[in-house]
Amino acid sequence: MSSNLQATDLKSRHILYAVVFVVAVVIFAATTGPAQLSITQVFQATAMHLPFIGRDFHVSSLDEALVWQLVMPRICLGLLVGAMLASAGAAYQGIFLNPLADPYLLGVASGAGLGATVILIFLPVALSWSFNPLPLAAFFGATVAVLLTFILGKAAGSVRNTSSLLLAGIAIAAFFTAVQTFLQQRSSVGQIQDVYSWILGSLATAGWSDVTLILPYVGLTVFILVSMRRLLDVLAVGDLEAQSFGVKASTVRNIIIAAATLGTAAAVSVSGLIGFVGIIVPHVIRLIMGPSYKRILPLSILYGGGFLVLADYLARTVLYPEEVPLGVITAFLGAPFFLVVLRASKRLV
Amino acid sequence: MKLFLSENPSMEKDRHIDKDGDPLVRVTGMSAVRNNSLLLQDISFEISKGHLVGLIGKNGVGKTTLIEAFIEGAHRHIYQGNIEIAGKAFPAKSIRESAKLVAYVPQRPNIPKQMLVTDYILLGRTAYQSYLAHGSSQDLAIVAEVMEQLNLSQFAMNVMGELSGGELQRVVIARALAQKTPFLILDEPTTSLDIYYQLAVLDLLRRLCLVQDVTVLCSLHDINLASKYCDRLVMLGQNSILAYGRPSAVLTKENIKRAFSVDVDLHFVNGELMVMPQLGEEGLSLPDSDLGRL
Amino acid sequence: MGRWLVSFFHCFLGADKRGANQLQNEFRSEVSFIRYTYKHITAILCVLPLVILLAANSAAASAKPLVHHRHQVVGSDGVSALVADMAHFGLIKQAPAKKKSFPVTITAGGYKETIPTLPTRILCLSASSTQMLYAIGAMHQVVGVDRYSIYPKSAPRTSFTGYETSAEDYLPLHPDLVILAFNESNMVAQLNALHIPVLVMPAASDIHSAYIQLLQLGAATGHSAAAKQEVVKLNRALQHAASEVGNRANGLTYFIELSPSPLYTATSDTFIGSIFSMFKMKDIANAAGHGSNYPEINASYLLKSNPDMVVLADTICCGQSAKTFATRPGYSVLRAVHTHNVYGVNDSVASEWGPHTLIEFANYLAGVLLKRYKTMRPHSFHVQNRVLVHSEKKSNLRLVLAPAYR
Repeated sequence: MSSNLQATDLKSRHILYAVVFVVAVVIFAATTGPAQLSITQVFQATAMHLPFIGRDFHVSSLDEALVWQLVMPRICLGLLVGAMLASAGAAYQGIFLNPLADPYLLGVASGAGLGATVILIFLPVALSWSFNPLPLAAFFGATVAVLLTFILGKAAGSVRNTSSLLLAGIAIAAFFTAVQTFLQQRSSVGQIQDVYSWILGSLATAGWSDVTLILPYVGLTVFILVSMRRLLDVLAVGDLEAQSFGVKASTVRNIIIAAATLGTAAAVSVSGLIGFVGIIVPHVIRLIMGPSYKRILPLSILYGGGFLVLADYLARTVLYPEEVPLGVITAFLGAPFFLVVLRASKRLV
Repeated sequence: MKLFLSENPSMEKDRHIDKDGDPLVRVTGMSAVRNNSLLLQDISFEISKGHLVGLIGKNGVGKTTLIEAFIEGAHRHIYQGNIEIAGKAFPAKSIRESAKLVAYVPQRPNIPKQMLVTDYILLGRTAYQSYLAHGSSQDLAIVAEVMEQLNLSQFAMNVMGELSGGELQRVVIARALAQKTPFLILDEPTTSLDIYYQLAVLDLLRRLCLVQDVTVLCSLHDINLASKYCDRLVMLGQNSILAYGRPSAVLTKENIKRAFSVDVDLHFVNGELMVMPQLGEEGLSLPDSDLGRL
Repeated sequence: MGRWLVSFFHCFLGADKRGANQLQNEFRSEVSFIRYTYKHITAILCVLPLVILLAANSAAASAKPLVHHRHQVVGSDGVSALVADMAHFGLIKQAPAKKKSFPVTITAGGYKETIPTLPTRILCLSASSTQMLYAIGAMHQVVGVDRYSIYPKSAPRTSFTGYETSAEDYLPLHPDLVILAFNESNMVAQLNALHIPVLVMPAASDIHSAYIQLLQLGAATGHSAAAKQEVVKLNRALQHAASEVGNRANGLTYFIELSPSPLYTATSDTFIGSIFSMFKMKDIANAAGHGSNYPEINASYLLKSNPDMVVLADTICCGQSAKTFATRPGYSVLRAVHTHNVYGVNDSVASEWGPHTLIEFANYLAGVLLKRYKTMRPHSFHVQNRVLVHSEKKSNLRLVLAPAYR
């Protein structure tokens, strides 16, 4: 009998499918872009920069710059940001037991928005510095907003009560947005456009420096979230029962929220606010794979990254040579796909 | 057969020791205070290995508070006194170690409706799983074993929302059993079940004690069922233990009057104790003045 | 399906294009897409009766259309033709009595307005109109300009932005003519209710419409003759610049950067683009102008199309320079970078088109082209271009920054 019981953990074939999807998307996005480079050119230009291969393949310097300086960092950043937003979204949904939770729930978005606005309005010159303070300011704003949310939430309600934290998040977000709107109102038209463009989110100007900037945060966050994936399931039975399983619910919540916030803040600081990825990717996986975070979380990381690379591919190709805001693509692509999955799924939502 | 030791009232007062057993759980000087109100006062008792111990008492005297003393967590600070389980101090060094000593079935468990039954029972293995590792086949084998034992195998791939009340109660108990602890506590496991499932649950607990040497503490409403199934009863009065021992010794007319403020008659049917409330005229048991307490 | 998708995207995209003032005011009020499209519908509904009126008028007169020479400088005799055309199409309607120039009816920015008497207290909330008013000698009638009117320095600057929501704000100045760049907060109706004449002078999209605005402002302020002269002068100056450069820059490609991130640019269908067209240069962004003349383009496309010349109009807003441009990932391979043909200019050249800015930028560009056209695409120039007419004009480049590379 016992041999008949199927393991409910993530099966290696599911990981394999996801990895194949990600690799396929990356190759597709790198080689079929409107730059019309051949697959060999792309591979050679990439290989030139990889360790141990690093030999010259006689790719023209323009093609090489195209592949290595523009397309590749964009794809890598898409993978990181997508993975981060999707897994943070899944984590928040598990923490708050709320299917509508997204990575921007606790004030990350408004805090980062305010941080970015302050730089764009008061220190526009900084954009030309070799060290760009914009991501740092956005990151700082995001973490300050979430910390305030925590302080306010703790003051307002008991430790176990996640709804007081949610309400505090709404209050803080409203406050930060108000400050940001006020600053925006006091500034010039050009600055408003810059702020607005930043808020829409984009990977268009991604460089390797952005990738290396957020890689440590995303890596750490993903590691923490993956190691906590089972505990997210445990939280579904409530704090007291979780404690009887050896899980200190409040500690787990704090660790996961801190990790998810840190990673989201890092992602937002380089890419702006890209919506829908954090809600749609985990939900589609939930609808297909069931509600256990043992499956949702690792798959969200992979499919989230792949999804964003695909969305960004469309953002730069649909109206080539124009750019479409990434947020428009994620919503355009995500919402109908989500509805299809929702309809097709026989599971309870 | 009353084991209420009163030979040395100054030293041994309220020490409820089970002489003929092998003590697995030892509670000493347990008190609980929350918001300046005393919930439990200086409670001490022992539970022998393999016993099914029933916890009875009026609503609000502290049954749930006593049961939650065996869960480590946010409310730990309200308790004073010592608990020892299987020779180890409780709470243990870490919350994970504590979870390997006691498993808990709450009165109204939170049921995640979309979770698979297997996943739910696997939650009981949380304390044994490392954070990063893939789920181990050993945990799965334990879950399979418990499911087979409670006749739940056919529900393995069902979601929790599809189960009936009786099935759910079994699944929750299975989850606690998967924790493989020496001590199991249940908070009113028969509430909201009809008589068939009440008997089924108590049969199951009884069998666990007999066959697997699990020690169980469970609070019960029904005095007759408690007396029929339990090896020992803990009768809780206002904040303290009124009586402890074998059901026949605990369930005296005087104790029941003190614990529940109800006059009862004791009958023996085929050698089994039956507690019957005394019905007065017009079928009323309580004086009119008690109505206000409802 | 593809076309439908493209146009569908555009109705969203219009809202975030960086561009001239008429687009900018969309940003100011609302970030919402819905409001954006809604506004367009109302705008169309407002303009429709006017269009019908104009169409009926022209049908009754003759079939001779108002030729819209988009990228061409109007010839000197063309100026008088232009003036005649404008009167003909009702863009300026003067009082029938020959001697009197008031009341005058002017149709600008889609609004028809009658100015009863010579205005003496003009409030100008459009930077390019401020330049024009000063160029035609109406400066003594101006009592206030908005805070973005940076030229001339002596203009009576106020803290007004043009985005004020209530006409009451302008009343302390007692204006008898208000010039707006756009009709935000329904300001035209608000001012009309207060019986204050108002002209809407949106940022001109090409040289031709700048001339029309000059002439209209001349008629509105009683300086018609000076306005005509100014148009002739401007036209002559531009023709001169164009003839000096001649065919030397023919076919050279350029890229105008309006913001580095996102990478906004301007097509040749914009005012700044029309100056380049005058020198027969080609805008690499034209391929991107599906919906907006100020599209956000893809960095790979910029690299792929490899323009001969890059003009950075984001030196002030975003602190860009030829140096920062060259250090962006991948940009170092651009031809304009290694031939040192990346030029930083004042941001306002992309949005404000007063006569002053216009001549200054045209002269600046002509100077750059004359001096450096050979370096721009080293392989394509041959012997016949060897004789270089070197007319280095010492223009006082107050608005145009010096190029970073000499």
